[in-house]
Amino acid sequence: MRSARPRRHGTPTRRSRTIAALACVGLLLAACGGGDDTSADPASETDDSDAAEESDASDEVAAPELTTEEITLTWWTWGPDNEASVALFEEAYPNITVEIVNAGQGTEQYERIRTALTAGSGAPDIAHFATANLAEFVLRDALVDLTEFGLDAVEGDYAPGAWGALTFEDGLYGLPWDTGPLAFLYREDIFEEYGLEVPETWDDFAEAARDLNAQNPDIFLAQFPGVIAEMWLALNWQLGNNSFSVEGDTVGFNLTNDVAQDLVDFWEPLLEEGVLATDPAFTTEWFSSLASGRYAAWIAPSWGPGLLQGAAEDSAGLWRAAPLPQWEAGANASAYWGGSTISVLQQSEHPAEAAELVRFLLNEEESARNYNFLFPTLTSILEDPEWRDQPYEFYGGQAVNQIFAEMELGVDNSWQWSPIQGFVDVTLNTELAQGADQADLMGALERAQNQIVQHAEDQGFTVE
Amino acid sequence: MTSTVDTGVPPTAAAEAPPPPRRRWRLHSQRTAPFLFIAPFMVAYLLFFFAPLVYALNISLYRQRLIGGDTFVGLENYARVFRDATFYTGLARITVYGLLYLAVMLVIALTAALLLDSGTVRFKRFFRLSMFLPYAVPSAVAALMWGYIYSRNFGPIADVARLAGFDAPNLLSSRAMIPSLVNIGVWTWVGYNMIIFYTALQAVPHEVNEAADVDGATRLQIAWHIKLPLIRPAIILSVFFSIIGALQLFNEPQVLSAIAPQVIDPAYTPNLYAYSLAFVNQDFPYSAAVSFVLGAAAFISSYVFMAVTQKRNQ
Repeated sequence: MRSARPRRHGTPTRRSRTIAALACVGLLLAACGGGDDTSADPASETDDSDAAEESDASDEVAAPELTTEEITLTWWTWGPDNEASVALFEEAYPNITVEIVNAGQGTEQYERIRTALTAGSGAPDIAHFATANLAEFVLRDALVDLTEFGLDAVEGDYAPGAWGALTFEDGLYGLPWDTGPLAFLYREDIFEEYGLEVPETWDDFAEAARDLNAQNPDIFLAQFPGVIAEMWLALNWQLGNNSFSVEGDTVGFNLTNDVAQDLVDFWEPLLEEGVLATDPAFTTEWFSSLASGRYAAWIAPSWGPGLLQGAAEDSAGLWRAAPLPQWEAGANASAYWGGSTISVLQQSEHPAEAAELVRFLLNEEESARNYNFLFPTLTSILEDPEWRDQPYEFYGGQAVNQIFAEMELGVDNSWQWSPIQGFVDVTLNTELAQGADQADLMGALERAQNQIVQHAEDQGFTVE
Repeated sequence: MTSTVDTGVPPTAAAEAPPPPRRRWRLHSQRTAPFLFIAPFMVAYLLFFFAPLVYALNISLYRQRLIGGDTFVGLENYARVFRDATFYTGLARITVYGLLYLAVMLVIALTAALLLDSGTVRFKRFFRLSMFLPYAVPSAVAALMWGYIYSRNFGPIADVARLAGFDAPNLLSSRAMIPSLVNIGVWTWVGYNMIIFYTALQAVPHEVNEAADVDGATRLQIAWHIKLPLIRPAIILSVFFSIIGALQLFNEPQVLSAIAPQVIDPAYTPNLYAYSLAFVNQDFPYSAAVSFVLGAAAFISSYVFMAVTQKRNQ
């Protein structure tokens, strides 16, 4: 594999070295047939880049020329704690200044980007997107295809699921920043008190839900995850059921197909029996329910443990993490709730430098380690014992990251989001909240499907 | 008159010329002064009221699509509003809300104002202030607070019900939602309206009351036959504002939708509908059309109300 090293020309600079390193990873991948163990090893990556520097000139790698002029790049993001990584970038590229702008959280920032697109100017060089909302901006031709700058070469550095939703018809429109693989958080004390076993399968989960509620009607094993649109979609995702398909202007919505029917058949009886809570999420009441033991468990994404730790201090030390319940015993399938990316905008006057900034922020381990609150996507961090084995007091000293890192590997990467995801989420939330209340999920899904198809047609899509 | 110069407006040529055509200076400024005084308001009015209105009116004549861009469609969006069952449902809902709110609010506010005015109330100032206080609470905060009070698991009402051995009532169910919203509205506005009525009552001449007293009218009779008819204009004003307020109901359902999404859908009230059309559906033209129709509905219902009350006045 070492023989497959790329060679470059020109004077060795830090920049060309890193680009060579990128290409290395790409070639290694090709040579290894996609095995992520070799490419994921940060040590081998560094070795290769050093070696590449010493090797002879070749035209295999087209290193884009970055400007030496004084320029400023603007980054719109609502995420905290990005200064440290930007400082590292500015140190590596003294002629480039990066300006971080908080243009509002999610929808608010998207609205500003839409305005800038209509106006033809005013967009930042790079911007933060929730992965689920990326498709709309790809469709609007707002984003730069990063394969132009060879960034597809770093695919092997990331967890496969994290990469999936960033590619559209061979184009790559962002690098993974964080993800939200699902696992299972539960109260060990309650499980012990009522003699419950940690559910390995969804059937175990249903049994535990009935058992607990029969013993104590005031408490529930968990909230019905389907009251949150993203969770209902994640349950489809875990089953490999793509709820959306997008091909150019043609979109498909599979909210009521056979797999969805299977899900309905599983959850509806639990709702009819009233053994799961159907309260909406993220309300004061919901947090109180988690803190007070009214819920004994939470089917939570990787950003859940941190959130819970802050919101349910009274129950510190009583929580534990376990893998997400499976449909088949022994499987390891999960899905995401959440996840974000950074993309380069077409309006940028310095796309090559902006692409390098994105790469630096998300592919250099040194900067990727700075995002303390985000679940890492680089396999080198996911596999790093220092991160993985870190004990958490709130979880009785358990190394919670291990569980979520394992689930991360079980996320199928063929999932696609729709270009009208904002509308889809709100519609699903509204209808599923009603459906859960009346224990009629298929009715709710049909209403949602109809409204969504109608909206897609109104927006000019061909719906298949 | 020298204030024209003090406002920072560049001095006119006439003002600069030193020899004293004083009369001309005055004439000139008499003509321009009003405009200069109006200018700050007019600029703000045109910029922040009129311009957005024109902008929205223009948008409402287009269709914007993700695929295919913008096309001019004339009044099609307005035709769509009149066919839109979702819009009518919301309109019907706020009509019920408005009627219920008006009835409850008027009874409580008038009773309180009459009691205050009758002089039978002790701690008058405290009473007046404590009734007025909720008006100072921002409506979003009020809705959050009431959301907690209504909560079925951790709220105080649920606690009391449980202590008494009942099931906690579901005050956020689809049937209870409108009364629950009315309650928040009444709580917020009753003190404000009470002050309006009380102030009007203060203006009723003492002689009238005394004459009625001498004629042997009871206090209740005085209140009903003398005082209420005399403060009729104040009541009309308060109803007028309430109609407009009810039609624009937004904050309370918006906040409560987080804890009762199964009841409050994104089109629960017309205003909420216009909001979600713009920011969820990305359908700004239709949202603008809905807003204009809603504005027209508010205008017409206030106009009809005024016409009816004026007629009865004559």
